[in-house]
Amino acid sequence: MVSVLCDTKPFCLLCDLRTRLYTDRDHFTVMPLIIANGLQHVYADLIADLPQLPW
Amino acid sequence: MSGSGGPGARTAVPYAMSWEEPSYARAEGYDYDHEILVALPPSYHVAPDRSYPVVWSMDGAMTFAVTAGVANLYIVGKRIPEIIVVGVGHRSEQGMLGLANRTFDLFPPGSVWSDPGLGDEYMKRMGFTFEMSRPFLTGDLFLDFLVEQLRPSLGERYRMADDHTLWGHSAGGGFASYALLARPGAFGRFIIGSGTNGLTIDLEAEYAKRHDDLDARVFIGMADGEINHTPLCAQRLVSRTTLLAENLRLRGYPSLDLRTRFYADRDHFTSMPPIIGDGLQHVYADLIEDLPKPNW
Repeated sequence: MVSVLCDTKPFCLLCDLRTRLYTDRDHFTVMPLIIANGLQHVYADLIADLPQLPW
Repeated sequence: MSGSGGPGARTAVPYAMSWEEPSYARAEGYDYDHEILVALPPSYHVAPDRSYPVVWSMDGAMTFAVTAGVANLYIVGKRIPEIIVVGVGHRSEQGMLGLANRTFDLFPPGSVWSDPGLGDEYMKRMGFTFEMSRPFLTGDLFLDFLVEQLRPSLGERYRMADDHTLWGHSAGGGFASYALLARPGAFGRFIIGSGTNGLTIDLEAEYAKRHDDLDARVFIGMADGEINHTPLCAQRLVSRTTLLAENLRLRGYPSLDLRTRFYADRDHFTSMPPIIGDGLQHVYADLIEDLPKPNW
């Protein structure tokens, strides 16, 4: 099932939407990836100036 | 359904792991303490006769939370059995600076960080000098500490089954692969994340000369982003880890259950959550066959 939460992106200047489908994951095992990628996406505007580690 | 506390009320079945207060231990041969973090499985306090497999997570607080978090999630989802997670690393109050201790803890004497030629030259140009650390490498003592000191000590405090997994990433992955070959049988399950070193490649070859089997469940994970990161290339992170995985598979050890995965669109850091999740599922696959699966 794919839920479309926002279908106004082409017209909405405020919406920074990213959607990913994960392969080889189920309803449970997808969670760590959604959490990690979700955090990176929603905080992308706050991390631009963070010093990067050499890893 | 009965109201809470009323006659016939059900006992709530805990579903979250509980975290103990940090404790500290001094390894023999060390002049500083390690911080010990423990997460107990959901049923721990309502099943007093039960003991649990243990995951030993390297790098202390940096990886303990995500390890226990993914473990908690997968326990709730019946993807893995209930386990105890033990994190071992530097004291949290030392902050990021304390991570320097991992070089001493996780690399045994004789470790080969880079290799002569391109890799070594790059590291020197960038100012990464491993040579100064060589006299202080204590990975062998740290392994002794985990197995001979800390395990029996925590075993007196917690109901640990004699079923131990070693999980480490990067230098921790190198340490886990070292433990697999330097002290076979000390751990039965291994999650090796993106890391080994030249010493382990040699140890593997030496082990093969003297053994015709290796009884272990091993998961190895790497990320494609690591190949696109020059300092990690200079440490031969992906190529050496791949070589270890290939050589182990080529040996054809009948009791070795090995699975290796490459993660696309991940880097050295962001690969950790899926490595933990997939690693836990692989190394505990023999224990989860009979677990009831939720209908999710």
